[in-house]
Amino acid sequence: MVNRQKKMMNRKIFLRILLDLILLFAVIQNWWIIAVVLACVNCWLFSCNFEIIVIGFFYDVLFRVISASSPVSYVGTILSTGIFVASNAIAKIIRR
Amino acid sequence: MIYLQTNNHHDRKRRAQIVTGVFLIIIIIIIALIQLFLPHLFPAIAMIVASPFWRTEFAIESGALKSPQSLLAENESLKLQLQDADARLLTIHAIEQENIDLKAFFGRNVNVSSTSSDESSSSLAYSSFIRMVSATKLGGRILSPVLMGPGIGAYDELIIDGGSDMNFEIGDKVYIVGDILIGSISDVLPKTSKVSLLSSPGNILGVLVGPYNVSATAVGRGGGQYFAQVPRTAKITEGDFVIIPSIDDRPFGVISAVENDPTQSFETVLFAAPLNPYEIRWVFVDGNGK
Repeated sequence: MVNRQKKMMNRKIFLRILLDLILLFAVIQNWWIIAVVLACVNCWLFSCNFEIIVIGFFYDVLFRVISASSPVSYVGTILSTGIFVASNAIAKIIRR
Repeated sequence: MIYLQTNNHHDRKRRAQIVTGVFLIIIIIIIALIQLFLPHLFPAIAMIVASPFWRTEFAIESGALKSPQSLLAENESLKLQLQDADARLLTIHAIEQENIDLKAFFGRNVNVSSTSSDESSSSLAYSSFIRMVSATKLGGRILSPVLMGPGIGAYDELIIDGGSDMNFEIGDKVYIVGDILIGSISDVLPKTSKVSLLSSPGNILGVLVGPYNVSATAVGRGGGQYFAQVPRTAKITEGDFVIIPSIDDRPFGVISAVENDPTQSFETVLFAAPLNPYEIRWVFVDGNGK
């Protein structure tokens, strides 16, 4: 029983890392619509998915113009934080 | 007793939440301070992660994995295209000479760059492209590959290979084949630079539209697209050229659509750069043209 639980846990961790890597690749390739969809899926499947915010921030530092310091130039961070908060809230309500 | 246990558990949970909150706030403050005082640190790290992917992709698109046979076949095909382009070049030469003579007739001295004759045909064949590259080096421009185009991203910009290592500076003008201005360098990192496109949303630019050179203000829509409002009497049609006011009149864009509302005295023209920014693979950085 414990072994089975451990196996399940390992599989979940593996899936989470795999999805994060795919998400990171989508961000590097500037496929931001795909990245948003993957981030939503990621947040839905796994709780406390803080790496989504990190990847959103990574998107901004990679592509934004440094001299432009408006909030628009942090669209990735804002969007990923929004997805994180919204998906966690929805998941909490549904899984109550 | 049970109540006490519940309260303890509740307190512990609350304390953990406070500690997590404080920890997160500290991290956010540290990141904000780094962004404020060392704004190039995170972008440089991100570039180290991303640029190997882009360079590999660029090499594959450039034919690094093609077989020698297919490269030879492509070479032959390009030679044929070059012959075709050379034939067209003769016509362009004649028209350019006529243009220079006309301007001289009206008292305007035109400095013809050594590259002008080569540029027209360069987009057609690789061999002529190489000729143009060597010619443009004489003009002080540096050829740079485009690692990442605007794509479908939220930021309308190009990321090009070469940064402070190539002496690029913020404000350096960026051209594509055909001496067409597309933007300027907005950020310089150690080995890469970011190019803000003229077509960035909201960017405003003075242009001359159509065969009668109607003066208009073009507004960027992103992805190499612009729109401008011109009087209906200007009779602009699809395929007309748009130029930037200067003595060196090279086409800056081509009208792709005209939105005509009979109730309005103005019509909206949509135009795009002759070369799609999503397809740009090489650019020329002009350090002297700031």
